[in-house]
Amino acid sequence: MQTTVKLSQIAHTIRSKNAGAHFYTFDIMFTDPVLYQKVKAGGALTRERIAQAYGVSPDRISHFIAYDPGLAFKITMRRPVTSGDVGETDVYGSQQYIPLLDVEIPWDEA
Amino acid sequence: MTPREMRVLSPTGNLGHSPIQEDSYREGLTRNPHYVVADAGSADIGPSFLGADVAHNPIEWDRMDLELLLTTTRERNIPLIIGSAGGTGTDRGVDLFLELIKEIAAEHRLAPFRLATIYADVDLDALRERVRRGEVMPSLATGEPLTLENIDRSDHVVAMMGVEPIIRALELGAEVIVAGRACDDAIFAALPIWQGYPRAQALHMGKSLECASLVAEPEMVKETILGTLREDRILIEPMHPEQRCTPRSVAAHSMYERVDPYTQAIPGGVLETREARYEAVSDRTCQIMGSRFIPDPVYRVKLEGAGKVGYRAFSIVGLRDPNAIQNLDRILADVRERVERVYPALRTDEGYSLVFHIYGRNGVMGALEPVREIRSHELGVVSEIIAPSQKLALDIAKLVQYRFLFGRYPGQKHSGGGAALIIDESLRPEHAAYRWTVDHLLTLKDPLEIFPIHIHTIGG
Repeated sequence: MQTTVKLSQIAHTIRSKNAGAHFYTFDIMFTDPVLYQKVKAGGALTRERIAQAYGVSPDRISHFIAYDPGLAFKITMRRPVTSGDVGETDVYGSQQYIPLLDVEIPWDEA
Repeated sequence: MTPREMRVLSPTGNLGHSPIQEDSYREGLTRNPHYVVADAGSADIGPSFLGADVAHNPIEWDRMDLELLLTTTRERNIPLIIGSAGGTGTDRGVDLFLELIKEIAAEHRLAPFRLATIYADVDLDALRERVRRGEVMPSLATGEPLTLENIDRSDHVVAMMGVEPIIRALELGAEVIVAGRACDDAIFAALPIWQGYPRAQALHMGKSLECASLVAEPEMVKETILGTLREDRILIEPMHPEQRCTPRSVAAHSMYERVDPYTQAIPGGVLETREARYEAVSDRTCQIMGSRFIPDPVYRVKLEGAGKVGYRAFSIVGLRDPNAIQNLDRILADVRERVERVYPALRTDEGYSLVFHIYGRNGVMGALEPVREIRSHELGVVSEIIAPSQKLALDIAKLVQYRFLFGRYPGQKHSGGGAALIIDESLRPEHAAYRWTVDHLLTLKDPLEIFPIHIHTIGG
């Protein structure tokens, strides 16, 4: 049966941090290679889908990498402000992953 | 014949940040490590500590970790290598660690040993001179070259050293090395590279060990990891009995806080891990093979600089009235307008700003917050003010607070104050407000050129 699943239901870890002063970087990590490969093969998790979750244009996402050795998707986005600048809300970037939890992708239970 | 190998302990990803867990470190010592490495720094803490050149950790916490590492490595007569001393790796941080080590050595009556300090501060006038001579230093973020204006806006600049200054200190007979700002991977890789091990393996070991137990699962901090380096492979093993280093956890750590999981630029070249293989050799030890080092034709180090933008003050108010929450944007506009009337510089002048952080709406994610409609029954508003003097920032924060008390909005029932204050004072952080000003690549003719090394005899 074709249904959908949220990333928070299938990923083991979803995290965000700074990667240098100018970027947030997001790791969507799996422990089960089958789940990881299924998400990768499904092709629904894309740069555009991530951009949509954050309400930004896809060119704001500098990297979208399926990192097989780590069973992980690695996404990097330009920060709204350089770390520590006026307007900073999260100096470590550690609470910026939240919209990823609810990203829904098609999921075939069979 | 047993293959030649070097064993290293990584007991912490951030010396002094919170104490090293002693049990797994002691367990690691029973494995007869050849040396111990501790990274003490990160740029993640934001620009203030570098800009103001102040300590990030309480001195007692630095002392606690240094005491454990120094006494145990001296007892076994094995090298101890510390990078990015004091959190930011400035000369002040290096000197602080040197003084703490002298005190600890005296207290424990340690036998005499040779200690090297390696400075990483960059002299601003010397940097200006390089720009005037036409040296091009591109920004890592934008590619734009470093300008005199970037330097004028900076209070403090450090350079991130590679393995070469640390190798030089080892050649000079140092048994303890306190390095200023240094690449995490390099402080682990220097000793084995000096001993003739391949650069790629040594650096990949450093990359895996730099955050200590974060490379293992389940997640724990400040627990010790043992790295074993052979000619053709690296073994990564946790010293805490409940942790495991799996191919997945070790490979996944390669991408932690990085933009690209496959390449890692360091002074002198790039560690390339696209072909690396991560394999389980037991249920808790992972082996890595097949990474490559691609040398750069030029030797480049990263500069980090920060400069003051002004002084910060905060006011915190709580809003509970449903009509106030309903009319929040109107209230914020009123507060801003009334305060700007008294302090017009807030509107346009450099060095002034007023930012509202609305906890309960989008205080954490700001413009990236996807939730647009809120149901909060109360909101916390933190107003952040930056101004050219501390007094001015505090005065503006106080006025902001009063406007929240006496702002007016439709449907208002109360009189006598529309906001709840924990205290009728404005608040100030410990340090002035800084921003990152320099993130540029400097080309060096000699990797030691800007990293002065001093040898000290301690103890006895």
